[in-house]
Amino acid sequence: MKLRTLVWRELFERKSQMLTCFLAIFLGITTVVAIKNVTYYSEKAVAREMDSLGANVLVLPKSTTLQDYYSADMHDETIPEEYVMRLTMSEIQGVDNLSPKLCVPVDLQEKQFALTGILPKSEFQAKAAWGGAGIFSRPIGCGAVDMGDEPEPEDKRTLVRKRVIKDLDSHEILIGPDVASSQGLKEGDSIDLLGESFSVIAVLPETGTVDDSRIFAHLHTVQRLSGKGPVVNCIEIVGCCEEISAGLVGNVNKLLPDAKVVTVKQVVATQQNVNHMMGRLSVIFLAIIVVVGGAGIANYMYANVFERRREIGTLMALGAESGLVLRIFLAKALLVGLVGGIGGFVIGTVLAVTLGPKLAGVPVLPMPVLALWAVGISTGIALVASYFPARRAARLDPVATFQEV
Amino acid sequence: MYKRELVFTVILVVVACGLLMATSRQAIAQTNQGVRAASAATPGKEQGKGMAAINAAAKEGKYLFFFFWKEKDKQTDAMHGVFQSAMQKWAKSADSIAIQITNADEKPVVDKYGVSRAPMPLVVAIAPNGAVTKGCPLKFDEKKLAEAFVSPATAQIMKALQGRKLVLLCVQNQKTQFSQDALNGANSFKADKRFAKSTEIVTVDPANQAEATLLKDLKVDPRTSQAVTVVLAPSGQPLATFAGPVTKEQILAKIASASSGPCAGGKCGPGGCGSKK
Repeated sequence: MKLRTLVWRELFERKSQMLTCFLAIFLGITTVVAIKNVTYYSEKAVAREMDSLGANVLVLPKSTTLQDYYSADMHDETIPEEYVMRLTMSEIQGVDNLSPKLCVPVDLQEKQFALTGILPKSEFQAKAAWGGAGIFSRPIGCGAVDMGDEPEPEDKRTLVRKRVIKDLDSHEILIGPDVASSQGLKEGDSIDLLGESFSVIAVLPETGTVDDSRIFAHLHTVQRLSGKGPVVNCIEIVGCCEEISAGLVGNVNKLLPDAKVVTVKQVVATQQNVNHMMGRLSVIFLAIIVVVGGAGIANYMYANVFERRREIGTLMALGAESGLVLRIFLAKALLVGLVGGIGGFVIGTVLAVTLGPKLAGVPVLPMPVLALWAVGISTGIALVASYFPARRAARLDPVATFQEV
Repeated sequence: MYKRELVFTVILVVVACGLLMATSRQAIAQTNQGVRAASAATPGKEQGKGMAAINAAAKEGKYLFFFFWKEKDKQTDAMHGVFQSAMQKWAKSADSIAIQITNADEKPVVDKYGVSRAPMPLVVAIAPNGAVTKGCPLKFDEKKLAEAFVSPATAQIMKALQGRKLVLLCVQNQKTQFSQDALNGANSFKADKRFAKSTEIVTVDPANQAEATLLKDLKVDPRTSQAVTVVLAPSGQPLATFAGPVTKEQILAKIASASSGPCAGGKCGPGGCGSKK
């Protein structure tokens, strides 16, 4: 009789027990694969978000409650615009760039968009050089070097990444892709906003955030049209990372005691906490698979070997060697583990891809590397748990088993 | 007859009140030197006293200190006291003038320095060459104001940087080696039409004691035996320092690496420039 036939028959000998063991491994692997897959893409989304933001510190009115970074300026509370100059002229180290914002709603063809006032860099950057004696010994910025009047015209679309542009005239606007598509606007077109005509100088690239439905105009124009005076809803600061660690937020807080200063890390802290919790959860599930699945398989194998010792003895009396018996049981365990691992990976991935976007709010793609991980874990557990029962079967004395008959 | 006297008295009171208000406003609006500076140049109505004071100070080779204020309050009074006391000490080297930013006549100077939305009170110091050498908002003391006095080369550099220009600072004299090579490199960079308009070359003698602080800030040894070239970007960031001869290509390479560094834009996310944990 061939090994393959023996293993196949052995597999279906105790169907219900075998199914229980298989399910323990399969469900465990399914859960861990799904959690790992969603966590990976969620962490990646947070990292990408933080990196693509550029700005990493927000200055907000004290009473503001912050739900989302991108809509940090969408509230009615304001802070004085003079805070921008206080920051620019201060000796605080590590402030690389600033972007004050004032947001007011505007209706265009019965659709509401956010008209966001921004201050071009040219209107405040020179004041950073009002530092007096010793200005050259202070570290300024953290890599974003201003090369002065560059020969190439500025690409305004970099606003999305850099959070600030160099120049913007009082009646120029930049529009998000949603505004462009819904209003049928393109570069060079004109549009009326709050009773004045503006020309579209750039359509911003898609970001998947609320920025897509924004219209960016000069801060002072937005202040005038909305009648809000010299105020802003928030100031985004591109802070140098090392300086943030060294207490930039505390220093800004000291300079602007009437404002709330938060880092983007704090904003995304909730999402990061969920990710960490999911990570810990996957470790717990892994432990459950090892304990429950492993113990289940070991128990099933031991019981199987004990119940079928006479059959094993007969097989050995017919000439089967210990090695063959060992291989039969280990191959059976390998098959259970392999099928459980592959099945767990497939179903776990399907669950992650379909439920992930709804649960974590991020697009989730299959991760082939998890297949190796799933199969490795499941077969490893099955083999380790089956090794001792299999060795016991291989060491059975056929004579002793016949004596029991 | 009685009516006429009454009208006359009312007019007299109104005129007296007007004069009194104007005098008190002038007290804060013009310090001793400011009065002199403002009156030295007869201001055109469209210019305002502030713009005239700039021209007068520049003509005399003096610094000009503006005291910008918005409304009379405790903070403004206290800082104006500090300002006046300092200005009296520096009368020989600096003129001063107080400007209320809401005064429509002074709009040109308020717009020139973009201080209409600045925290007030604010002192802005202008060097004789027109560079803003210090801005002190809200709270300051004499020591802070004194930081406005900078060396001639520093003022020249600041003026260029505030005009959004790159500065090539050539530290050299007849004794330093490779002086001509370094200067040729700087000139060759400026000759490139991409950078011609946005580059300024400033030369400093390392033996000049007046420039010792500038050299110390830029970490250049004043006893250097070789010419040193420092590249500065707005708003005062030293990008590179070359000792000895330098070529246009070397300067370009340093600028390119500085503007495309891994931290450009302040990336703090994983894999960015944040602290590695």
